[in-house]
Amino acid sequence: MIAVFAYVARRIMTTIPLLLVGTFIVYALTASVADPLAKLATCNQCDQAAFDRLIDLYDLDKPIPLRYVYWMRDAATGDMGQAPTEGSAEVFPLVMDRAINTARLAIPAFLIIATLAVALGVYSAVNQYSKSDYFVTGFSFVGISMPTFVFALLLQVIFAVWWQDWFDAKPFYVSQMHTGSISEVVRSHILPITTLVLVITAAESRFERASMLEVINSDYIRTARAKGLPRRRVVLKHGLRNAMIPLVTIWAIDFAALLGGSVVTETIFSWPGLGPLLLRAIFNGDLNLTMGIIMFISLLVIFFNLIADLVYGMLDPRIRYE
Amino acid sequence: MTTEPLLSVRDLTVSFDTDDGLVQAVNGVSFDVHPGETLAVVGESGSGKSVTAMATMRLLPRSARISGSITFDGRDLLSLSDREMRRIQGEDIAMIFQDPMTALNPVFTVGNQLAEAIRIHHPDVSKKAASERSIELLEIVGIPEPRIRVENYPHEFSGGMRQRAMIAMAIANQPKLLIADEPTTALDVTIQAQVIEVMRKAQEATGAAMILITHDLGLVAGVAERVQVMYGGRLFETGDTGTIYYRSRNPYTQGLMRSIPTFAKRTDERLSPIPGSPPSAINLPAGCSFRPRCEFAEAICRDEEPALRPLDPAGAHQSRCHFAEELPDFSQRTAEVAG
Repeated sequence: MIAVFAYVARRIMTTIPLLLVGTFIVYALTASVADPLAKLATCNQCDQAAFDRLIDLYDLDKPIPLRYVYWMRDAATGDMGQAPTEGSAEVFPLVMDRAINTARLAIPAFLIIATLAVALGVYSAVNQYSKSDYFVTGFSFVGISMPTFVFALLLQVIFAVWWQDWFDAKPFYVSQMHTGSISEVVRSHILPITTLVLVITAAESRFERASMLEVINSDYIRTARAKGLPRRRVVLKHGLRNAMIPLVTIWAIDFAALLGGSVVTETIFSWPGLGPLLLRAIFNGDLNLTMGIIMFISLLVIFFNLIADLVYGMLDPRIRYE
Repeated sequence: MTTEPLLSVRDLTVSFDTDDGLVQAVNGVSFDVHPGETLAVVGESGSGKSVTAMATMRLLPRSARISGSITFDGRDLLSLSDREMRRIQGEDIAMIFQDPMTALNPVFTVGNQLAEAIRIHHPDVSKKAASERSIELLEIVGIPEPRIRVENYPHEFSGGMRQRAMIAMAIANQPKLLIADEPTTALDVTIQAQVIEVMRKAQEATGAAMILITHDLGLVAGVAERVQVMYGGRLFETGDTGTIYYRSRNPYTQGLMRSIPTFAKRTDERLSPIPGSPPSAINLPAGCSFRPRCEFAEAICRDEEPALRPLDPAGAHQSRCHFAEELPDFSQRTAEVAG
């Protein structure tokens, strides 16, 4: 147990240089292309004073590495600055607000994905080359090959537009996060969550199928069968735990990506999450906001990688923390 | 040999439909195993010895086509339902596999896997009792400090210890028949003799009969009462261990003998491997399948497949060779070479 704590402490320490290097690269690149003064260049009424004010406000007369140090110094104290292109809103509360909206899609989507991927993958592997296996692998093939926006638009058209024409009923909302009755809230979540589930489950179930296939052809599964264990117990006790070990890494990556905001899905469903916000921040050249979101995503990735490594240790006794 | 056989295999034929054609893995094999006796099944890779064992355990994939009969303790194993067969697997017939490094599940403790083997067949045994029995089993197979070791995971065991644990698992329910499929092949030479000794002890402790599958004829002496030699899915020779060792009447068996280092050394004969390689199970040569590699082959060997013929009135010694009677004695020949 002490070894695990020491391991976590050491991992967190190694996170700091990783975060510094990562954010510096993003800061330097964004600051190089996002120049607040460029917007003023075509402004006729703006005088030198306006330029000076901007230069003073964003330390534009300082070199980028120094500006990064200033930014980092403030960020370390929790001050992520303001987002000039979002009405000078404070970055930290803004990012947190959108992160919560994103999480409202990401958390249920992830739980469904994780369950479905394991269930479909295991079922498919155990019934390899059966009709249902071909069906599942066919579904995942389609899911992997089709771009996300195709699913999102199809779902919108079918369930929010045509459905209303056919049945004169509104099963799901086409867009936006509703805040009315519970039924409205649920109905506005379903289509974007379904989109995320379809696309990511397709990839994960395929992965889990491959992993389970490798496991059920292994010697220890044969040993388990030779003991006279029922098939269900062979698969669920001896197979599943081994087959889930490689999936944990994929889960960590996918969950961090989901919580970091899905640009395409959220944009198509006009979902006020991190995805569209980041996209806007980049297009508008909003350095503080871009950095705030990037920082959040970096922390997510680092955090879930750490969690994955700890879950590994729980599933596989051969892994030691030293 | 007057007792009823425990296991009686008749005309067992196993084939697999593959992309390359029908693979004849086992071809009309018949043999008996009597209670308490040890039968060694010897042959090169692909001779069908493991498939025979897997067919007996009903562990072959569904794609395998099996015909013939396997009667164990009066029941036809091939006609049992999966559920009925599971009651026999691990309870009446237990198996020890080739590679102990991969045969144990890496994510459960050795004790967990041992106790599972007991409790699946005896659900009335408490967890505590099963755990006590697991410790006792580890002690039987000679694992030091079994009380501590039972809590270990397989990766904390050495290869030899893992194979001992596998043996412990196999004898957990006092089976009537143990099938050991190349139990020492994956082990260091220094460990092999120990593991064979443990198997003998385990067999003594349970009174089980044993089928010892090996490609190493040298391993068989002192362990098995009877030996049967397989080649290309067919039985080539069968007899008492002494008969096979000293009065083999089959060119293939004699070839196997000459490739045992200790035999060759004792007789000053050079270690001589059998030339060529085992036949492909897809296109078995016409006539005698060993013909292409046989130094005594003549025209008849190509035209006619020899039958497995009894060489003594009791039929204890049988050989599949047109020239079984004319073949020089293995011991004589080696003596000539030495002299």
